[in-house]
Amino acid sequence: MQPADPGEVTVLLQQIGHGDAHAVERLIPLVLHELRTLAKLQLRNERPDHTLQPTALVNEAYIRLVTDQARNWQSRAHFIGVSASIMRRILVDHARRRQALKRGGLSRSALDTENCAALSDQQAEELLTLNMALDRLEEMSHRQRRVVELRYFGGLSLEETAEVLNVSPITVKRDWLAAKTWLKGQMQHQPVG
Amino acid sequence: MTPAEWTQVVELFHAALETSGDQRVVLLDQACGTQSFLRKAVEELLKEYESAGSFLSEPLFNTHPGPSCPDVVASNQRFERFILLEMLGRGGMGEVWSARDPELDRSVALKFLRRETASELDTAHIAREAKAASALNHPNIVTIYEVVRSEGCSAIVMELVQGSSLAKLRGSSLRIDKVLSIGVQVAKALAAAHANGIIHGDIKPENIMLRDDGYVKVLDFGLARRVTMETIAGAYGPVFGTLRYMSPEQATGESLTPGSDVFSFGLVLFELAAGRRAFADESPLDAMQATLTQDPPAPASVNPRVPAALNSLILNMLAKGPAMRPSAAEVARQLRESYRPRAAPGHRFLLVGLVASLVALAAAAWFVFGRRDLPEFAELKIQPLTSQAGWEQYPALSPDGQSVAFTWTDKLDGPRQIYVKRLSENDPVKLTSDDSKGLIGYLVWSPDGTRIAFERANKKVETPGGLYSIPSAGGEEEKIVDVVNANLSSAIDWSPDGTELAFSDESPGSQRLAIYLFNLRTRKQRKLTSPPAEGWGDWSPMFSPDGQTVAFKRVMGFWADDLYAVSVGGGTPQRVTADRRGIWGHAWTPDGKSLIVSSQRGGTIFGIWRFPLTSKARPERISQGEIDAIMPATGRKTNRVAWVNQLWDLNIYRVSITGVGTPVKLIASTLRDQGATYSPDGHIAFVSDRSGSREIWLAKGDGSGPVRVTNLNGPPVDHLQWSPDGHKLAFDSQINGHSGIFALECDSAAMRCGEPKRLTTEPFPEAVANWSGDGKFLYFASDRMGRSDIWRQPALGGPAVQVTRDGGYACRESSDGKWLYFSNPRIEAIFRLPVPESGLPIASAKELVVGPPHHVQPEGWTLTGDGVIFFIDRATESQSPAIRAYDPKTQKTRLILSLNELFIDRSDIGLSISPDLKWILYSQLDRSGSNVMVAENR
Repeated sequence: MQPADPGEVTVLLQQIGHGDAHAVERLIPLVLHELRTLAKLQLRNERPDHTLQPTALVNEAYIRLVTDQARNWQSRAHFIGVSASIMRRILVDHARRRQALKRGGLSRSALDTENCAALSDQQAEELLTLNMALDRLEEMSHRQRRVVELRYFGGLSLEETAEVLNVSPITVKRDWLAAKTWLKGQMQHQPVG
Repeated sequence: MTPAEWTQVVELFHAALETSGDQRVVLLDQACGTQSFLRKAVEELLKEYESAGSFLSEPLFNTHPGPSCPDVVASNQRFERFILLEMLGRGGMGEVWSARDPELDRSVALKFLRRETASELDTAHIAREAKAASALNHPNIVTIYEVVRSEGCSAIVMELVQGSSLAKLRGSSLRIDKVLSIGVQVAKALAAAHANGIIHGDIKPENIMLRDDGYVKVLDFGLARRVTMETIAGAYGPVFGTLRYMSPEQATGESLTPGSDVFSFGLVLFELAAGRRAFADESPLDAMQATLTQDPPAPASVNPRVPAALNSLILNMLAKGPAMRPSAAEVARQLRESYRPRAAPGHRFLLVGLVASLVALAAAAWFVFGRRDLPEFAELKIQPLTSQAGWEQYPALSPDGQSVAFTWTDKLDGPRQIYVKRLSENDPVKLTSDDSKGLIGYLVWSPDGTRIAFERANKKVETPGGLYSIPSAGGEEEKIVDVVNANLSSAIDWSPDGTELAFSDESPGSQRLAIYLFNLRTRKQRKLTSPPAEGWGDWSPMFSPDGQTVAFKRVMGFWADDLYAVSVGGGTPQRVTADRRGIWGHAWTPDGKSLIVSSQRGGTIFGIWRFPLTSKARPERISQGEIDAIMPATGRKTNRVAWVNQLWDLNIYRVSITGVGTPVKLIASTLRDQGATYSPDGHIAFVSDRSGSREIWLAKGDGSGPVRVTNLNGPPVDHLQWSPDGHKLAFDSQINGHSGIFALECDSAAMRCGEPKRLTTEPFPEAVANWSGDGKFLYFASDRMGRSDIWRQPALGGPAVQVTRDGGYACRESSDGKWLYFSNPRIEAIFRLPVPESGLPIASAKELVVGPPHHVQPEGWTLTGDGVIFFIDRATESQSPAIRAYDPKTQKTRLILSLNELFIDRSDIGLSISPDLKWILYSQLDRSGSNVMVAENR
């Protein structure tokens, strides 16, 4: 996998800011590579953090990939807009492997064990439940699912989320409120509806 | 639920939230009517909302500092056996309290860990790491006594330090001797820890305590790594000082090394010495960004009282590449040398500072790279091998150490013959008879001393060259094997058992060179290395004395090399050097434990160094100062080392633009002065290494009053170019690990310039920059797409766009802005592209402007305001090199001046026309030659 050319990422971010969906597709593999590397580093035992910081990883990825002066908060928001969902996928992946390991099976190598060590059982389970709930939310409202992803996995503010989704911050606020309220119910009770 | 239903629910939910009690019931009655499903969904949502609390209110997994530990904290509270006294501060991990230990009857400090941090696994880990550091028992490291748990809280019990952290000193300006005193103690603490494999990982002013009696204590060893990650996430929270002190490799997620501590320490020292942060950005994230991409200012430029030695030390500690930084022990040593306790401020200290900087100047390489470890080359007897005029090159010592083979020519580009000289005799013997077949490169003796092998490149590029050998006593040469791309800059070697020859050749499908081994018995060839896609490939393989390893040079760019070693069986090469500077030859010592290398790591001038391979000793310089010492050669059974001292006295000449009259030597020194270029107001900027390293100088239009305006101290500098408004001077260089285009802001009338600033930001080497006529764009050459092409970016910064499609190098816009003239590194010609009103030059509309029968030197040409192209036409068999002028209006070329032989090898000669169109500047080789030197251990 070719490491990303920071100049290219900047250009893509600008295009995304102008609404170019193709640019999003092109940015994803670049970011994916970066985030995977960073996630692996963070989740390995060398940095046995009790807590995960996906937002920190996304920040790191941003700094690694976009290192020129054209960076502004909007670009950053778009970058995280792409990265947040990637981050979610990576984390869910880790959580699944953790669970599989726990059930006593599939460790193919010491590496697997290492990578999942920092995720506690409880965290892994919560993450997977949240993931399923998000999938269900997606079916009801794509935008609300995006809002949760951006704020929760990407750490974006209301304004930044609004920038990425191209809606007003008030809309984001309402989406956020409704979505997380619903999600909480999902996490704690049997799903209804 | 369907999306439509959900939307309804949400709307109702929001509406309901704005009401309460009876109003809400009424609202729901009205809106839902009989749709009980809808009502139920909204009511459930409302119920969740009431009890939602903090669910999802923060980004994932804890970015805010959680509840403190223990829950109730107040004076005189007990925690286990300790009596809490007073809160000393709030750190990234938790609160710090002073406390009394009644059992051991002493005062201690208790550092509480947040609940979330302290899982069982962690506590044990933390305890282990923390105790490891304090077990060193170093006076400058805070002692950890134990880790205590109670009610789910953990606390680290440690030595209580009466004093305050360096963070409290922020804003006050310290005396330099105080800075040094603090620095020495911190350095000693780090050195002790590093020596035992412990890295701090979070050096910052908050972690360095200054005791009331002047003692310095470093805190939080080994705990730091966790804090680091936690507080990054605290980007939303108050505690993120850590981000500011991160080394570049920490910021990009690479593993911590002792060098990371040195970097962070360098930032602290900078702040102490200069009175402000090195990267004084507003937000910590911006500061982190800056450490990755910007070069720090020199501390002395911020605070003139900072002595030169401390200034250089801090800058070295802040090198972007960890391998370039001094070790903590080295830092301690240098700080100690500068520090004289209780020096009276003012006069006496000034003297100390002055002496230190004089010492630094006098022995620059020694100062930076440390003491000579050892005496293998302590006493060298150095003598020139021959003193014939002309060019002796490519020396090879015979296996018995009694003779040297070398090539000799009386003209730089002339045919080379092979000679052998017995060291005990005076006259060399010529071996080869006729060299019209092609140029000869490196030589190597067979292990039994009977033959000498060499590589020959065919003069016709399409015909392959080959490896040949000739009897060392004289005789007929014979061909060994064909070589597709005989790169004469790449050495060849003979295996110690005489069975194989190692050389570089093109790997199929690319132009990068890879290392090949040719077996003389089986006549079979095999590939040994696979060079990476970036760069020019692997060159100059050298067998170790036991024949098991091959050391070679991996070339990543123009004089951006490093040495690697690979087993003859193949496999992944191990890296030996990490300088990414020029390497001009390397050889093994007879014991196979070191490599003798000609390297630019000491500055711009090549020196001979010894790199130990197995021990941790530092590289040691063998040759002296101001002459390039290149192509080292060692013998198998002797301690003799031979190399070439190469002298180039290059000076800047001026001649009238008509070519009439005698050229005058305008700017000269005994070393190299070149690359001269006129500013729009008639001053001259040029490159010179007369000060010991390659720097940029300014002089008046008549060549007088030269002034040095940079202090790069080592990296290459080329291709000076003034901006159209005359305020900026662009050049390409490698500063602090970044290759690219830089610029100085200059006031040419005052003969002063500011610090170099980077203009291009991408990780590819860029060169030969030039502004567009209106100053809006910056053109430059880049080979990021695998071949040199011209790119363009907005002059003030921004993404670069490709301009030429099939090769480009140096370029200039015509003064009317309608054409972009450019050269191509492979084809010695000048082309041009039309430039439309707005937009990119049109690559497809390329026209040839100056071509055969001329051979335009790719960077040796320029354009006058009235569109005439002046260029350097290189030498061919039938003509000597010359400056010529081509006028597109008349389509005629005329000879301006015939030149002596050209100095092409190292960088541009520089051709510049004065703004008043009266004069031409160029560089000429006045005195030159090379001598083979032999050194012997006594």
